[in-house]
Amino acid sequence: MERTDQRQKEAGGHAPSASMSAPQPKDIDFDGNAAVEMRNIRVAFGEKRILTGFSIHVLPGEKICLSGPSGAGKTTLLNLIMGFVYPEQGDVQVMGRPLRPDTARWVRSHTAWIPQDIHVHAQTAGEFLLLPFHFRQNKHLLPAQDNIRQMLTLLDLEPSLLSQPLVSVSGGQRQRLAIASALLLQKRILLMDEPTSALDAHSAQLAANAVRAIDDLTVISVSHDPNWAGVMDRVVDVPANHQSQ
Amino acid sequence: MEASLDISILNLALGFLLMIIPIYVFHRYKTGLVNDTLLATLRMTVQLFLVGIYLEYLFRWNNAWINLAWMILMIVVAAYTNMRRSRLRFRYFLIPVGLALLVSLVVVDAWFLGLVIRLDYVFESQYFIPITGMLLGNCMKTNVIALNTYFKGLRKDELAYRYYLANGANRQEALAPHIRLALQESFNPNIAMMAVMGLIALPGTMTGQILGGSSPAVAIKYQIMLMITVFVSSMITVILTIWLSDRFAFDQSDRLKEEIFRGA
Repeated sequence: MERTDQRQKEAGGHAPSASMSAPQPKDIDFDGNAAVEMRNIRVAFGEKRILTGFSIHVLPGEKICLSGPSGAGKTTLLNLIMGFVYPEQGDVQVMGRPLRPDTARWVRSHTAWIPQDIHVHAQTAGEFLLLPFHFRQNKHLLPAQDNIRQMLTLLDLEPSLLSQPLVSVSGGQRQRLAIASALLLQKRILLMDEPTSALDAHSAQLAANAVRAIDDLTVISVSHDPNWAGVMDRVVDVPANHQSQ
Repeated sequence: MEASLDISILNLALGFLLMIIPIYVFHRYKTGLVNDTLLATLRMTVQLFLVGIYLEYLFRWNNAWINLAWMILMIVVAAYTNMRRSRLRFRYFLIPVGLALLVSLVVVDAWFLGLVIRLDYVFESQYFIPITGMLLGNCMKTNVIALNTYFKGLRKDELAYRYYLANGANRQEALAPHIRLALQESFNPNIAMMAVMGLIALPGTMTGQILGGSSPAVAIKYQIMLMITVFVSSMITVILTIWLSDRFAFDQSDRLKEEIFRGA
């Protein structure tokens, strides 16, 4: 946490207080289960083995950073949680349910995901921010204007940005909009792939503050950013594994 | 109005001489298209003569079962051609494309021939064969563009598709932007063509009818109805093909199957 304090100082007191207005996830009874549990996972794409014997246990509300060399399988682990990839061997459980083709949709209904590079079908920044709220499942979660404004302020984004064409928005602003959108969704598990790749130190700190402010939110992030890793509860090393079968 | 004058074989040959102009231009600029053009001209001529022969028989027999069998055969050929012109695997798409074409033709043919023209016998070869053939060709053309746009776009933007799914969209919601794009790309040419119809070109069907002896007033009414039926049947084909093929193109986890693409 030392590094967190340091980064807050670096933000020069301009960082708005995240704890003031961060939305809290809707109550779900984890019933004593881990948020995510993987046991002895093996994943291969064709001849290329990505993960071998990988296990992880993530507690509800825990915020972790997956770290390791490129190609080690960090993004694959996020895809495993969302049911976009299935292991050759091993078990994945999300909130106590085994991940299978018939449970993948249920799992996704409790996740929010921020990929590293997003190109979605939205004309303006505002459309991009509220895009997930147009889905039937999320319609009732549509945030009030005040909540949107507070979330944007937390991430140092001007509300006037929302009316701008998405193509004119910078990579950093787009990344923060994606984080704002995911946090407003109030899901239990947030999956983030290189969430600070387009952010400067100040913005990265604000993003970390916003994420950390939500106690019940489980965060599984992939990052090469040591500052981001420093503010997570735990860093999990994903070793390179390129053995041929 | 009289029926159009017949063209003797000698005069047909005289008509073919016009092709010397494009072939010379292709040759002069070393386009590499001379052989293709010659082959295409030959194929077109032989195919149309064959069509002429079998149409003679279809018109003479004027039998519902034979006409239906002809329609089914044409649908199979159209579905096969449709797949050849897209980069998708036959075994996943032949049935969706074939079924979509069949439903579209049955609905629009029944509406147009039965309700609009009010034929006593809807399988009347003189109407059923040319109208079904024309609808089929246009449906196929639009469907190729739509399917290519849809699946190419999905493959290219799979991350966005997964982003929607992972953030709460069901499959239909996650696919909606791709369906929108496929409809825009495939129907824009049809809309543009309808908008300028008669202004910058006389449509082929109308020209053919006038040459065949119909009055321009009747020919125009047919042309208007044909534009409408082409548009509607193309829409039914495209949307049904997408709906039906979605059942084969995604797995239970809503992942796009890579094996649906040829060369995958």
